[in-house]
Amino acid sequence: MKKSFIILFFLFSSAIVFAQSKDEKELTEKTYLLSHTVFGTKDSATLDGLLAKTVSYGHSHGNLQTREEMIKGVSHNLSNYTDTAVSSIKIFMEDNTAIVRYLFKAKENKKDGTVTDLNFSMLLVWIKEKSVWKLMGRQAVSLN
Amino acid sequence: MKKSSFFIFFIAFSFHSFAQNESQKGEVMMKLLMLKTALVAKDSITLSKLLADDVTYGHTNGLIQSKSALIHSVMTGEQDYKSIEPSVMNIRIFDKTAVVNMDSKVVLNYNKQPMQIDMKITFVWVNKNNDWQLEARQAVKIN
Repeated sequence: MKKSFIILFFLFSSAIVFAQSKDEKELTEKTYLLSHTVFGTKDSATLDGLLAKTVSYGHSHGNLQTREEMIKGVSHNLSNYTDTAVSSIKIFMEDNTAIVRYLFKAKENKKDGTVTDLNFSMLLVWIKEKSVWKLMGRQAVSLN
Repeated sequence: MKKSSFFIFFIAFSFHSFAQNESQKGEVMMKLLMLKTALVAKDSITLSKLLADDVTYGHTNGLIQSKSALIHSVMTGEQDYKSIEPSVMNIRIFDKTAVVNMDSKVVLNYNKQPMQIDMKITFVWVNKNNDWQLEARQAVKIN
């Protein structure tokens, strides 16, 4: 009896650990997907699936965009990004809120031929909406 | 009859959730005010209550402070806030998450250097045990 209780407890606690790592896996994948979409494919349908309805999307120069503005801005962005690198991802989870912080580097190749080095620290806020993580907020800050 | 009572229920219900959302926004606004006051007054007890243990507090220059680093820096006067004046504020609540976008003019001495920074700030508050705590803050400088 005691033994089975311990086994049950063990199963239960490993289920919790498993559930946590599942969330962290989804959040890590979505963070990469978001970065890859914004600075790569610029695919509106992918952004549509990632963003919560009331997302606020803040750029390093202070410009703050709504969902519609952000999707339009990305799909109309004529810059091409090379050497993109996401690093130092840290996830802080509290129930259905997750904060993801990471570093982002890239070269922005503008249409006029100029190249700018981007070096950002990113803050993402994800919320769990009907068991799916959606982006509720983003704030970039330049480290240059 | 049945239809109308259902309709009334629906209105009452949506009003209830509307009112609840508004009262939560009020709670978060109060916390923002307390945070601002505690930073200027160097009130470590209030700061300790407002900040989640794993808070990340990001500055305009990219520096990210932990709870203890922020409180230490405020208490020693390394970051010595003189005034914090919020202007535009937008609070969005989703379940137990509150995301705030705020414009603010901050006057401070940083390592005894006086500065005045116009910034946009994103705050993330999380409701734990019926109390809102700051989980993340990121400021960005606007020119």
